[in-house]
Amino acid sequence: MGHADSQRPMEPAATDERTRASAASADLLANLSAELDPLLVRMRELHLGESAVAAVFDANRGANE
Amino acid sequence: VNSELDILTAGIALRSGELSAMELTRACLTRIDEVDAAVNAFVDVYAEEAMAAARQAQEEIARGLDRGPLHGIPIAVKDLFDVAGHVTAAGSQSRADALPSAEDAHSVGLLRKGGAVIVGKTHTHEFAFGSTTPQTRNPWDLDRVPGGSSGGSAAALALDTCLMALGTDTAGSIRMPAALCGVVGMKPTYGRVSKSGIVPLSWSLDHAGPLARYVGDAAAALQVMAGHDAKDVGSHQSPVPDYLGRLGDGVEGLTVAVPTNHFSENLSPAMRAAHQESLAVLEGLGAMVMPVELPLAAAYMGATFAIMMAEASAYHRDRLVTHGELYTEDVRTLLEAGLRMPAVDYVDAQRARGLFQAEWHDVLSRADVVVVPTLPTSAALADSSVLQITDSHAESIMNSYVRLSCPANLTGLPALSVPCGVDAHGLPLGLQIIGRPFDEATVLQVGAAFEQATAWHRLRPPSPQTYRRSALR
Repeated sequence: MGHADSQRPMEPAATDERTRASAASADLLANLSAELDPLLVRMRELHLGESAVAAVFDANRGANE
Repeated sequence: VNSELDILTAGIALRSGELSAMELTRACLTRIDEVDAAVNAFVDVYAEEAMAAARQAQEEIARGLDRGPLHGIPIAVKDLFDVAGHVTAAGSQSRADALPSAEDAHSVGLLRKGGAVIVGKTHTHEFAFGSTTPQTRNPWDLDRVPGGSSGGSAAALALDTCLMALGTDTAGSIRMPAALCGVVGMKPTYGRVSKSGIVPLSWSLDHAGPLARYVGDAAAALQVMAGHDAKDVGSHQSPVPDYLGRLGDGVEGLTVAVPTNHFSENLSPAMRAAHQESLAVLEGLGAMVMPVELPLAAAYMGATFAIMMAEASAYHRDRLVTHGELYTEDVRTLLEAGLRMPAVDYVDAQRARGLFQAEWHDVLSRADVVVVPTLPTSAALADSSVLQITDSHAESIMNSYVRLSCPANLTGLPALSVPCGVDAHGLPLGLQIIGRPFDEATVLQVGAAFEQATAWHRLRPPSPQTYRRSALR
Protein backbone atom coordinates (compact mmCIF):
# COMPACT_ATOMS: atom_id res chain seq x y z
CA MET A 1 0.00 0.00 0.00
CA GLY A 2 1.29 3.44 -0.87
CA HIS A 3 1.30 6.52 1.27
CA ALA A 4 -2.10 8.24 1.45
CA ASP A 5 -0.80 11.28 -0.44
CA SER A 6 0.32 9.18 -3.35
CA GLN A 7 -3.29 8.10 -3.92
CA ARG A 8 -4.56 11.65 -4.19
CA PRO A 9 -5.33 12.63 -7.80
CA MET A 10 -3.29 15.48 -9.19
CA GLU A 11 -4.86 18.89 -9.65
CA PRO A 12 -5.98 19.36 -13.31
CA ALA A 13 -3.67 22.38 -13.81
CA ALA A 14 -0.68 20.47 -12.49
CA THR A 15 -1.53 17.54 -14.72
CA ASP A 16 -1.66 19.78 -17.79
CA GLU A 17 1.64 21.37 -16.84
CA ARG A 18 3.34 18.02 -16.42
CA THR A 19 1.86 16.65 -19.61
CA ARG A 20 3.15 19.67 -21.52
CA ALA A 21 6.58 19.40 -19.89
CA SER A 22 6.72 15.70 -20.64
CA ALA A 23 5.75 16.27 -24.28
CA ALA A 24 8.37 19.03 -24.64
CA SER A 25 11.00 16.78 -23.11
CA ALA A 26 10.03 13.94 -25.46
CA ASP A 27 10.36 16.35 -28.40
CA LEU A 28 13.81 17.44 -27.26
CA LEU A 29 14.92 13.83 -26.86
CA ALA A 30 13.57 12.96 -30.31
CA ASN A 31 15.40 15.92 -31.86
CA LEU A 32 18.59 14.98 -30.07
CA SER A 33 18.33 11.37 -31.21
CA ALA A 34 17.78 12.49 -34.79
CA GLU A 35 21.04 14.42 -34.60
CA LEU A 36 23.09 11.90 -32.63
CA ASP A 37 22.07 8.65 -34.30
CA PRO A 38 23.81 9.34 -37.65
CA LEU A 39 26.98 10.33 -35.75
CA LEU A 40 26.93 7.07 -33.80
CA VAL A 41 26.28 5.09 -36.98
CA ARG A 42 29.40 6.62 -38.55
CA MET A 43 31.42 5.74 -35.46
CA ARG A 44 30.14 2.13 -35.55
CA GLU A 45 31.34 1.84 -39.14
CA LEU A 46 34.94 2.25 -37.95
CA HIS A 47 36.99 -0.95 -38.22
CA LEU A 48 38.36 -1.27 -34.70
CA GLY A 49 40.26 -4.51 -35.36
CA GLU A 50 42.16 -5.71 -32.32
CA SER A 51 42.25 -2.29 -30.66
CA ALA A 52 41.53 -2.38 -26.96
CA VAL A 53 40.50 0.07 -24.30
CA ALA A 54 43.66 1.51 -22.82
CA ALA A 55 42.78 0.64 -19.25
CA VAL A 56 45.47 0.39 -16.62
CA PHE A 57 44.64 -1.40 -13.40
CA ASP A 58 46.90 -0.41 -10.55
CA ALA A 59 46.48 -2.94 -7.76
CA ASN A 60 48.26 -0.62 -5.33
CA ARG A 61 45.90 2.27 -5.82
CA GLY A 62 44.13 3.05 -2.57
CA ALA A 63 46.38 0.81 -0.50
CA ASN A 64 48.26 3.71 1.04
CA GLU A 65 45.52 6.33 1.03
CA VAL B 1 42.40 48.43 -17.87
CA ASN B 2 44.56 49.30 -20.83
CA SER B 3 43.68 46.87 -23.64
CA GLU B 4 47.31 46.81 -24.71
CA LEU B 5 48.66 45.83 -21.29
CA ASP B 6 49.83 42.23 -21.47
CA ILE B 7 50.81 40.23 -18.40
CA LEU B 8 54.56 40.33 -18.96
CA THR B 9 54.52 44.12 -19.49
CA ALA B 10 52.32 44.55 -16.42
CA GLY B 11 54.78 42.42 -14.46
CA ILE B 12 57.66 44.69 -15.44
CA ALA B 13 55.64 47.77 -14.45
CA LEU B 14 54.69 46.16 -11.11
CA ARG B 15 58.31 45.34 -10.30
CA SER B 16 59.61 48.78 -11.31
CA GLY B 17 56.99 50.52 -9.19
CA GLU B 18 55.49 52.25 -12.22
CA LEU B 19 52.23 50.39 -11.51
CA SER B 20 50.92 48.87 -8.29
CA ALA B 21 48.94 45.64 -7.94
CA MET B 22 46.24 47.61 -6.11
CA GLU B 23 45.92 50.12 -8.97
CA LEU B 24 45.70 47.31 -11.52
CA THR B 25 43.11 45.37 -9.49
CA ARG B 26 41.07 48.51 -8.81
CA ALA B 27 41.08 49.26 -12.55
CA CYS B 28 39.71 45.77 -13.27
CA LEU B 29 37.01 46.10 -10.61
CA THR B 30 36.00 49.52 -11.97
CA ARG B 31 35.86 48.10 -15.47
CA ILE B 32 33.62 45.27 -14.26
CA ASP B 33 31.31 47.87 -12.68
CA GLU B 34 31.19 49.78 -15.96
CA VAL B 35 30.56 47.02 -18.46
CA ASP B 36 29.45 43.75 -16.91
CA ALA B 37 25.79 44.64 -16.33
CA ALA B 38 25.06 44.40 -20.04
CA VAL B 39 27.07 41.26 -20.74
CA ASN B 40 26.89 39.36 -17.44
CA ALA B 41 30.21 37.58 -17.66
CA PHE B 42 30.61 37.39 -13.86
CA VAL B 43 28.65 35.23 -11.43
CA ASP B 44 30.22 36.99 -8.47
CA VAL B 45 32.89 39.64 -7.93
CA TYR B 46 35.19 39.34 -4.91
CA ALA B 47 36.09 43.03 -4.63
CA GLU B 48 37.27 43.08 -1.00
CA GLU B 49 39.20 39.83 -1.22
CA ALA B 50 40.79 40.94 -4.48
CA MET B 51 41.93 44.25 -3.02
CA ALA B 52 43.36 42.45 0.02
CA ALA B 53 45.25 40.00 -2.21
CA ALA B 54 46.48 42.88 -4.36
CA ARG B 55 47.71 44.73 -1.27
CA GLN B 56 49.60 41.62 -0.17
CA ALA B 57 51.12 41.18 -3.64
CA GLN B 58 52.13 44.81 -3.73
CA GLU B 59 53.85 44.54 -0.34
CA GLU B 60 55.63 41.34 -1.38
CA ILE B 61 56.85 42.85 -4.64
CA ALA B 62 58.03 45.98 -2.80
CA ARG B 63 60.21 43.89 -0.51
CA GLY B 64 61.66 41.92 -3.40
CA LEU B 65 59.64 38.70 -3.20
CA ASP B 66 58.89 37.45 -6.73
CA ARG B 67 56.23 34.75 -7.07
CA GLY B 68 56.49 34.57 -10.87
CA PRO B 69 54.77 36.00 -13.94
CA LEU B 70 51.29 36.21 -12.42
CA HIS B 71 52.32 37.97 -9.21
CA GLY B 72 49.85 40.84 -8.71
CA ILE B 73 47.90 40.02 -11.90
CA PRO B 74 44.05 40.11 -11.74
CA ILE B 75 42.41 36.93 -13.03
CA ALA B 76 38.91 35.41 -13.18
CA VAL B 77 37.87 31.81 -12.52
CA LYS B 78 35.19 29.83 -14.34
CA ASP B 79 32.46 28.78 -11.92
CA LEU B 80 33.39 25.14 -12.33
CA PHE B 81 36.60 25.43 -10.28
CA ASP B 82 36.58 25.39 -6.48
CA VAL B 83 37.68 28.65 -4.89
CA ALA B 84 38.09 28.36 -1.12
CA GLY B 85 35.25 30.02 0.79
CA HIS B 86 32.96 30.30 -2.24
CA VAL B 87 30.23 28.11 -3.70
CA THR B 88 30.93 26.29 -6.97
CA ALA B 89 27.48 26.46 -8.53
CA ALA B 90 28.63 25.16 -11.95
CA GLY B 91 25.96 27.34 -13.53
CA SER B 92 23.20 25.16 -12.10
CA GLN B 93 20.26 25.83 -9.82
CA SER B 94 20.71 22.25 -8.66
CA ARG B 95 23.88 23.34 -6.82
CA ALA B 96 22.51 26.59 -5.42
CA ASP B 97 22.46 25.06 -1.93
CA ALA B 98 26.03 23.69 -2.17
CA LEU B 99 28.37 24.58 0.69
CA PRO B 100 31.31 26.91 0.04
CA SER B 101 34.41 25.03 -1.08
CA ALA B 102 36.83 24.14 1.72
CA GLU B 103 39.87 24.55 -0.50
CA ASP B 104 40.97 25.77 -3.91
CA ALA B 105 41.05 23.54 -6.97
CA HIS B 106 44.67 22.49 -7.57
CA SER B 107 45.12 24.90 -10.50
CA VAL B 108 43.49 27.77 -8.59
CA GLY B 109 45.81 27.06 -5.66
CA LEU B 110 48.86 27.20 -7.93
CA LEU B 111 47.72 30.52 -9.39
CA ARG B 112 47.05 31.92 -5.92
CA LYS B 113 50.44 30.67 -4.73
CA GLY B 114 51.90 32.39 -7.79
CA GLY B 115 50.47 35.69 -6.54
CA ALA B 116 47.50 35.98 -8.92
CA VAL B 117 44.61 38.13 -7.69
CA ILE B 118 41.19 36.50 -8.14
CA VAL B 119 38.63 39.20 -8.99
CA GLY B 120 35.64 36.88 -9.32
CA LYS B 121 33.94 33.88 -10.87
CA THR B 122 32.63 33.75 -14.43
CA HIS B 123 29.57 32.07 -15.88
CA THR B 124 29.65 28.59 -17.36
CA HIS B 125 27.03 26.78 -19.41
CA GLU B 126 25.25 24.58 -16.88
CA PHE B 127 27.72 21.89 -15.74
CA ALA B 128 29.84 22.84 -18.78
CA PHE B 129 27.43 20.79 -20.90
CA GLY B 130 26.71 23.19 -23.74
CA SER B 131 28.18 25.68 -26.14
CA THR B 132 26.20 28.87 -25.60
CA THR B 133 26.45 30.02 -21.92
CA PRO B 134 22.96 31.55 -22.07
CA GLN B 135 23.48 33.71 -18.94
CA THR B 136 26.14 35.74 -20.79
CA ARG B 137 26.11 37.75 -24.03
CA ASN B 138 28.82 38.20 -26.60
CA PRO B 139 30.54 41.60 -26.10
CA TRP B 140 30.85 42.03 -29.87
CA ASP B 141 27.08 41.81 -30.36
CA LEU B 142 24.74 41.55 -27.39
CA ASP B 143 22.21 39.61 -29.46
CA ARG B 144 24.71 36.78 -29.88
CA VAL B 145 26.15 33.99 -27.73
CA PRO B 146 29.69 34.16 -26.31
CA GLY B 147 30.11 30.42 -26.88
CA GLY B 148 30.61 27.91 -24.15
CA SER B 149 31.01 26.44 -21.86
CA SER B 150 33.65 28.94 -20.71
CA GLY B 151 31.59 31.82 -22.15
CA GLY B 152 31.89 34.06 -19.08
CA SER B 153 35.68 33.84 -19.06
CA ALA B 154 35.95 34.70 -22.76
CA ALA B 155 33.51 37.63 -22.49
CA ALA B 156 35.29 38.94 -19.38
CA LEU B 157 38.60 39.03 -21.25
CA ALA B 158 37.13 40.61 -24.38
CA LEU B 159 35.92 43.43 -22.12
CA ASP B 160 39.36 43.90 -20.50
CA THR B 161 37.96 43.17 -17.01
CA CYS B 162 40.88 40.86 -16.13
CA LEU B 163 44.18 39.75 -17.68
CA MET B 164 43.58 35.98 -17.61
CA ALA B 165 40.67 33.65 -16.92
CA LEU B 166 40.39 29.93 -16.24
CA GLY B 167 38.38 27.62 -18.43
CA THR B 168 37.68 23.95 -19.03
CA ASP B 169 37.49 22.17 -22.38
CA THR B 170 35.73 18.83 -23.01
CA ALA B 171 34.97 19.24 -26.71
CA GLY B 172 36.14 22.82 -27.33
CA SER B 173 34.90 24.79 -24.32
CA ILE B 174 38.06 26.91 -23.96
CA ARG B 175 38.88 27.40 -27.65
CA MET B 176 35.35 27.92 -28.95
CA PRO B 177 34.32 30.87 -26.70
CA ALA B 178 37.81 32.31 -27.13
CA ALA B 179 37.31 32.28 -30.92
CA LEU B 180 33.79 33.74 -30.71
CA CYS B 181 34.88 36.56 -28.36
CA GLY B 182 38.16 37.41 -30.13
CA VAL B 183 40.57 36.24 -27.43
CA VAL B 184 43.13 33.46 -26.95
CA GLY B 185 42.28 30.02 -25.51
CA MET B 186 44.77 27.26 -24.67
CA LYS B 187 43.75 23.64 -24.09
CA PRO B 188 46.90 21.89 -22.85
CA THR B 189 47.71 18.21 -23.32
CA TYR B 190 45.52 15.81 -21.30
CA GLY B 191 47.24 15.42 -17.93
CA ARG B 192 49.27 18.65 -18.13
CA VAL B 193 47.00 20.68 -15.79
CA SER B 194 45.31 19.03 -12.84
CA LYS B 195 41.54 18.72 -12.78
CA SER B 196 41.15 18.08 -9.07
CA GLY B 197 38.70 20.51 -7.52
CA ILE B 198 36.87 21.04 -10.81
CA VAL B 199 33.31 19.76 -11.36
CA PRO B 200 33.71 17.14 -14.09
CA LEU B 201 31.72 16.87 -17.27
CA SER B 202 33.45 13.88 -18.86
CA TRP B 203 36.53 12.61 -17.06
CA SER B 204 38.39 11.22 -20.05
CA LEU B 205 37.79 14.26 -22.28
CA ASP B 206 37.98 17.12 -19.73
CA HIS B 207 40.94 19.51 -19.74
CA ALA B 208 41.62 22.71 -17.78
CA GLY B 209 43.53 25.67 -19.16
CA PRO B 210 43.86 29.42 -19.56
CA LEU B 211 42.01 31.97 -21.66
CA ALA B 212 43.83 35.26 -22.15
CA ARG B 213 44.01 38.29 -24.43
CA TYR B 214 47.46 37.47 -25.80
CA VAL B 215 49.41 34.29 -26.51
CA GLY B 216 52.20 35.33 -24.13
CA ASP B 217 49.64 35.75 -21.34
CA ALA B 218 48.32 32.23 -21.94
CA ALA B 219 51.91 30.93 -21.85
CA ALA B 220 52.58 32.73 -18.57
CA ALA B 221 49.42 31.31 -17.00
CA LEU B 222 50.17 27.78 -18.21
CA GLN B 223 53.66 28.06 -16.77
CA VAL B 224 52.09 28.56 -13.34
CA MET B 225 49.20 26.07 -13.68
CA ALA B 226 51.02 23.09 -15.22
CA GLY B 227 52.40 20.23 -13.18
CA HIS B 228 51.69 16.88 -11.61
CA ASP B 229 48.96 16.41 -9.00
CA ALA B 230 48.54 13.09 -7.23
CA LYS B 231 44.87 13.85 -6.62
CA ASP B 232 44.13 13.71 -10.38
CA VAL B 233 44.44 10.17 -11.74
CA GLY B 234 45.00 11.56 -15.24
CA SER B 235 47.77 13.93 -14.16
CA HIS B 236 51.10 13.47 -15.94
CA GLN B 237 54.52 13.34 -14.25
CA SER B 238 56.63 14.79 -17.07
CA PRO B 239 58.56 17.95 -16.20
CA VAL B 240 57.08 21.32 -17.17
CA PRO B 241 59.23 23.02 -19.84
CA ASP B 242 59.74 26.75 -20.31
CA TYR B 243 56.73 28.07 -22.24
CA LEU B 244 57.90 31.67 -22.34
CA GLY B 245 61.45 31.29 -23.62
CA ARG B 246 60.53 30.22 -27.18
CA LEU B 247 57.71 32.70 -27.83
CA GLY B 248 59.93 34.86 -30.03
CA ASP B 249 61.50 32.04 -32.03
CA GLY B 250 59.20 32.37 -35.06
CA VAL B 251 58.12 29.60 -37.47
CA GLU B 252 61.02 29.56 -39.93
CA GLY B 253 61.57 25.95 -40.98
CA LEU B 254 58.55 24.54 -39.15
CA THR B 255 56.11 22.30 -41.03
CA VAL B 256 52.40 23.11 -40.76
CA ALA B 257 50.01 20.28 -41.67
CA VAL B 258 46.65 21.26 -43.14
CA PRO B 259 44.00 18.52 -43.44
CA THR B 260 42.26 18.33 -46.81
CA ASN B 261 39.13 16.78 -45.29
CA HIS B 262 36.92 17.36 -42.21
CA PHE B 263 38.43 20.72 -41.20
CA SER B 264 37.88 22.19 -44.66
CA GLU B 265 34.25 21.09 -45.01
CA ASN B 266 31.25 23.38 -44.55
CA LEU B 267 33.11 26.52 -43.49
CA SER B 268 31.58 29.98 -43.82
CA PRO B 269 33.13 31.96 -46.69
CA ALA B 270 34.69 34.35 -44.15
CA MET B 271 36.23 31.52 -42.12
CA ARG B 272 37.53 29.80 -45.24
CA ALA B 273 39.17 33.02 -46.41
CA ALA B 274 40.60 33.78 -42.94
CA HIS B 275 42.10 30.28 -42.72
CA GLN B 276 43.73 30.61 -46.14
CA GLU B 277 45.08 34.07 -45.30
CA SER B 278 46.43 32.77 -41.98
CA LEU B 279 48.29 29.96 -43.75
CA ALA B 280 49.74 32.54 -46.15
CA VAL B 281 50.94 34.57 -43.14
CA LEU B 282 52.69 31.51 -41.68
CA GLU B 283 54.21 30.68 -45.07
CA GLY B 284 55.36 34.27 -45.36
CA LEU B 285 57.13 33.83 -42.02
CA GLY B 286 59.01 30.79 -43.34
CA ALA B 287 56.79 27.84 -42.42
CA MET B 288 56.17 25.03 -44.89
CA VAL B 289 52.54 24.05 -45.46
CA MET B 290 51.85 20.35 -46.03
CA PRO B 291 48.44 18.91 -46.98
CA VAL B 292 47.42 15.78 -45.07
CA GLU B 293 44.36 13.53 -44.89
CA LEU B 294 42.61 12.25 -41.78
CA PRO B 295 40.81 9.07 -42.95
CA LEU B 296 39.05 8.41 -39.62
CA ALA B 297 37.55 11.89 -39.24
CA ALA B 298 33.97 10.81 -39.96
CA ALA B 299 33.94 8.95 -36.64
CA TYR B 300 35.18 11.83 -34.43
CA MET B 301 31.81 13.31 -33.54
CA GLY B 302 30.10 10.00 -32.76
CA ALA B 303 32.97 8.99 -30.49
CA THR B 304 32.93 12.37 -28.75
CA PHE B 305 29.23 12.25 -27.96
CA ALA B 306 29.27 8.56 -26.99
CA ILE B 307 31.98 9.25 -24.40
CA MET B 308 30.84 12.67 -23.22
CA MET B 309 27.20 11.72 -22.74
CA ALA B 310 27.91 8.39 -21.05
CA GLU B 311 30.47 9.83 -18.62
CA ALA B 312 28.39 12.95 -17.88
CA SER B 313 25.30 10.87 -17.20
CA ALA B 314 27.24 8.55 -14.91
CA TYR B 315 28.38 11.57 -12.89
CA HIS B 316 24.89 13.10 -12.74
CA ARG B 317 22.77 9.95 -12.34
CA ASP B 318 22.07 10.35 -8.62
CA ARG B 319 21.62 14.13 -8.80
CA LEU B 320 19.14 13.75 -11.66
CA VAL B 321 16.93 11.71 -9.33
CA THR B 322 17.11 14.16 -6.42
CA HIS B 323 17.41 17.51 -8.27
CA GLY B 324 16.28 16.71 -11.84
CA GLU B 325 13.67 19.48 -11.93
CA LEU B 326 16.38 22.07 -11.18
CA TYR B 327 18.40 21.29 -14.31
CA THR B 328 17.76 23.31 -17.46
CA GLU B 329 15.80 21.36 -20.02
CA ASP B 330 18.57 21.14 -22.62
CA VAL B 331 21.13 19.73 -20.18
CA ARG B 332 18.64 17.36 -18.55
CA THR B 333 17.72 16.04 -22.00
CA LEU B 334 21.36 15.38 -22.87
CA LEU B 335 21.87 13.58 -19.56
CA GLU B 336 18.72 11.50 -19.97
CA ALA B 337 19.86 10.53 -23.46
CA GLY B 338 23.25 9.63 -22.00
CA LEU B 339 21.60 7.22 -19.57
CA ARG B 340 20.38 5.30 -22.62
CA MET B 341 23.74 5.31 -24.43
CA PRO B 342 24.64 1.66 -25.16
CA ALA B 343 27.66 0.55 -23.12
CA VAL B 344 29.10 -1.01 -26.26
CA ASP B 345 29.13 2.39 -27.99
CA TYR B 346 30.99 3.89 -25.05
CA VAL B 347 33.58 1.11 -25.07
CA ASP B 348 33.99 1.27 -28.85
CA ALA B 349 34.40 5.04 -28.70
CA GLN B 350 37.20 4.58 -26.17
CA ARG B 351 38.77 1.92 -28.43
CA ALA B 352 38.48 4.28 -31.39
CA ARG B 353 40.51 6.91 -29.54
CA GLY B 354 43.57 4.72 -29.88
CA LEU B 355 43.13 4.74 -33.66
CA PHE B 356 42.59 8.51 -33.69
CA GLN B 357 45.76 8.99 -31.64
CA ALA B 358 47.74 6.84 -34.08
CA GLU B 359 46.31 8.79 -37.02
CA TRP B 360 47.35 12.13 -35.47
CA HIS B 361 50.71 10.76 -34.32
CA ASP B 362 51.42 9.87 -37.94
CA VAL B 363 50.58 13.41 -39.09
CA LEU B 364 52.60 15.01 -36.29
CA SER B 365 55.59 12.78 -36.99
CA ARG B 366 55.81 14.62 -40.32
CA ALA B 367 54.71 18.09 -39.18
CA ASP B 368 55.33 20.30 -36.15
CA VAL B 369 51.73 21.51 -35.86
CA VAL B 370 48.34 21.20 -37.53
CA VAL B 371 46.66 24.54 -38.31
CA VAL B 372 42.89 24.58 -38.87
CA PRO B 373 39.87 26.78 -38.13
CA THR B 374 38.71 26.68 -34.50
CA LEU B 375 35.07 26.82 -35.65
CA PRO B 376 33.28 26.74 -39.01
CA THR B 377 31.88 30.25 -38.47
CA SER B 378 31.29 33.11 -35.99
CA ALA B 379 28.92 33.70 -33.05
CA ALA B 380 25.31 32.55 -33.37
CA LEU B 381 22.28 34.65 -32.48
CA ALA B 382 21.19 33.90 -28.92
CA ASP B 383 17.65 32.86 -29.88
CA SER B 384 18.76 30.43 -32.57
CA SER B 385 19.69 26.77 -32.40
CA VAL B 386 20.75 26.54 -36.04
CA LEU B 387 23.58 28.28 -37.89
CA GLN B 388 23.35 29.11 -41.59
CA ILE B 389 27.00 28.50 -42.40
CA THR B 390 26.84 28.87 -46.19
CA ASP B 391 23.97 29.63 -48.57
CA SER B 392 23.35 25.90 -48.94
CA HIS B 393 24.43 24.54 -45.55
CA ALA B 394 22.67 24.98 -42.20
CA GLU B 395 23.75 23.07 -39.11
CA SER B 396 22.84 22.87 -35.43
CA ILE B 397 24.98 24.87 -33.01
CA MET B 398 25.65 21.67 -31.05
CA ASN B 399 27.20 20.04 -34.10
CA SER B 400 28.97 22.98 -35.71
CA TYR B 401 30.60 24.32 -32.54
CA VAL B 402 32.11 20.94 -31.64
CA ARG B 403 33.19 19.20 -34.84
CA LEU B 404 36.49 21.06 -35.37
CA SER B 405 37.58 21.22 -31.73
CA CYS B 406 36.68 17.72 -30.50
CA PRO B 407 39.60 15.92 -32.21
CA ALA B 408 42.06 17.52 -29.77
CA ASN B 409 39.95 16.23 -26.85
CA LEU B 410 39.72 12.70 -28.26
CA THR B 411 43.49 12.60 -28.80
CA GLY B 412 44.42 14.72 -25.77
CA LEU B 413 46.69 16.89 -27.97
CA PRO B 414 47.47 20.51 -27.02
CA ALA B 415 45.46 23.08 -28.99
CA LEU B 416 45.44 26.86 -29.05
CA SER B 417 42.89 29.27 -30.55
CA VAL B 418 44.04 32.73 -31.63
CA PRO B 419 42.05 35.53 -33.29
CA CYS B 420 42.52 35.40 -37.09
CA GLY B 421 39.94 37.66 -38.68
CA VAL B 422 36.40 39.00 -38.64
CA ASP B 423 33.35 38.18 -40.75
CA ALA B 424 31.01 40.53 -42.61
CA HIS B 425 29.27 41.41 -39.31
CA GLY B 426 32.59 42.32 -37.70
CA LEU B 427 32.46 39.20 -35.52
CA PRO B 428 35.75 37.48 -34.55
CA LEU B 429 37.02 34.23 -36.06
CA GLY B 430 39.54 31.81 -34.55
CA LEU B 431 42.55 29.88 -35.85
CA GLN B 432 43.40 26.60 -34.13
CA ILE B 433 46.99 25.36 -33.72
CA ILE B 434 47.29 21.72 -32.62
CA GLY B 435 50.60 20.18 -31.57
CA ARG B 436 52.36 17.05 -30.38
CA PRO B 437 51.67 15.62 -26.91
CA PHE B 438 53.18 17.84 -24.19
CA ASP B 439 54.64 20.17 -26.83
CA GLU B 440 52.66 23.22 -25.79
CA ALA B 441 55.86 25.24 -26.27
CA THR B 442 55.80 24.81 -30.07
CA VAL B 443 52.05 25.46 -30.23
CA LEU B 444 52.52 28.71 -28.29
CA GLN B 445 55.57 29.60 -30.39
CA VAL B 446 53.52 29.33 -33.61
CA GLY B 447 50.63 31.26 -32.02
CA ALA B 448 52.96 34.03 -30.88
CA ALA B 449 54.56 34.32 -34.34
CA PHE B 450 51.12 34.56 -35.96
CA GLU B 451 49.99 37.12 -33.39
CA GLN B 452 53.08 39.24 -33.92
CA ALA B 453 52.56 39.24 -37.69
CA THR B 454 48.87 40.21 -37.55
CA ALA B 455 46.66 42.73 -35.73
CA TRP B 456 43.52 40.66 -35.06
CA HIS B 457 44.31 40.33 -31.36
CA ARG B 458 44.23 44.13 -31.02
CA LEU B 459 40.59 44.45 -32.11
CA ARG B 460 38.16 45.15 -29.28
CA PRO B 461 34.35 45.12 -29.02
CA PRO B 462 32.31 48.36 -28.96
CA SER B 463 32.68 50.89 -26.15
CA PRO B 464 31.04 50.59 -22.69
CA GLN B 465 28.64 53.42 -23.55
CA THR B 466 27.27 51.26 -26.33
CA TYR B 467 26.76 48.42 -23.87
CA ARG B 468 24.81 50.60 -21.48
CA ARG B 469 22.54 51.85 -24.25
CA SER B 470 22.02 48.30 -25.49
CA ALA B 471 21.14 47.12 -22.01
CA LEU B 472 18.39 49.71 -21.82
CA ARG B 473 16.83 48.73 -25.14
